[in-house]
Amino acid sequence: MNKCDLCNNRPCIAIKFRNKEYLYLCNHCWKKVKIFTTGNRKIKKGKKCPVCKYTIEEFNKYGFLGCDFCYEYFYNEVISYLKKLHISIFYRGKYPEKFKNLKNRWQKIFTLRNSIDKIEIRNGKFHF
Amino acid sequence: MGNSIFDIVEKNTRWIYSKFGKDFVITSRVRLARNIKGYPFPYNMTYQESKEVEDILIDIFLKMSSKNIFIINISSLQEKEKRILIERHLISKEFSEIGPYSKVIIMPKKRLTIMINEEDHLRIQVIYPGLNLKKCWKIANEIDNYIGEKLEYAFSEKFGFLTACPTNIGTGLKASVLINIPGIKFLKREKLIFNMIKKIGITIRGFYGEGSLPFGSIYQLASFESIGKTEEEIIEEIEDVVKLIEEEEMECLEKIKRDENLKIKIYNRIIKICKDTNSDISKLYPLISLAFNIGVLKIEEKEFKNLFFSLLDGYEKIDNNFNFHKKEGKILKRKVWEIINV
Repeated sequence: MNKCDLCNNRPCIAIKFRNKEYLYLCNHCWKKVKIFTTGNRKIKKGKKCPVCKYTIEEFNKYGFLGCDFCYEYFYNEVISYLKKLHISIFYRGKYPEKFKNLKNRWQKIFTLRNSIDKIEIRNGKFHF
Repeated sequence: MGNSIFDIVEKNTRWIYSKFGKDFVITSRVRLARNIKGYPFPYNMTYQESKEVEDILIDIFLKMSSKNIFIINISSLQEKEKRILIERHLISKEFSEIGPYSKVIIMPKKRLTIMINEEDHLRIQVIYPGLNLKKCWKIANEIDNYIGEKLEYAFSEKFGFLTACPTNIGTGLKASVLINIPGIKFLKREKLIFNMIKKIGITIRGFYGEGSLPFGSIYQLASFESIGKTEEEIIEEIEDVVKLIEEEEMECLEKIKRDENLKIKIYNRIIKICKDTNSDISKLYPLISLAFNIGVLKIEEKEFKNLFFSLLDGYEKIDNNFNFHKKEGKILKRKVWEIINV
């Protein structure tokens, strides 16, 4: 039986990869190893996303982020990166289904705020 | 699989070039980039995570439509099969180099292509011939809403839809058109016009998108920013720019039509390229297109389209970056010579 291409240790399954090449991976490596790095990925020092372990060095080098939480964790770095590219950071597009209630609530808040701003108090009475 | 993938794609996507000929806009394309909440982005995934994302998305699409849907495993494609997917603008050239759990789903009746585990988990793409960005957006939006009901997208109020590359965040929308500007090109006005439109946030790309070269007088115009505007505003902006360039192209064509010297110049240039066995055949397309549009080339539109496809097929041996190699095309030059001398 073939041994794992990455750890050269455990018995493994075959994954068809790139035309007719096969990649042999054990169950452990299949779950743990990232597709686009080598098996001996060095742990880099510096700021690292607690969820996906992506580092700020990788972001600076490749221009990609590792997961959705990276946007929170590397918030300042992302804002700074977008500002350098003169990209405005103000979202005005559609909301996905599961967030639509949130958008509706915000719209109601803005409408109420605008209404409150228009209220006048004259002679001890409210005038709308 | 072998040739059958090639045949499926070839047969089901011929409509993509149906507007070649007199139409200024050849194709319109809208692409949406999306990711699933809680999974790393594709370049940072393990094999298991990649397979899980693939399974989730394939399941959703199979439930949406079990008929007229083709699911293609990118990693097991032959070169010829990858090539036709790229040539028909169904996948990017970068996608052909992705991992084992990347798929492309084609639904020809909806003009829809889905890429799974490319740069993002999901890319929804709709292509229509001619200027049809609103229609492309309508279909892409419907598909997006359908999927959004079935799973939770990676999304934040601050940044909008979250993508692997921060330049795609927000709407995740990229709108683009393929345009043919032989008049502008002949009068050497393209640099001036492109510099103007770059200032308003529209990018100019080659025939196969980012990093590729134009084919003769065919360029791709694409929106740049996907945040700070609504989806409708992005679509409208690019449509407005297309209309401005179309007016410019019409003015250039009128100018050339009124000037007999310019017509003779075009005719002579075509003859010169046809006679020169070493000259690159890509120079012929804009001239043929121009000659056809101003009525100098007396052939039917169908014959013109066939001629165009012959010119494009002549580039079968393009390099790995999908840039056009110099091609002599002796047979094609003889064919053009015969047409122009009728």
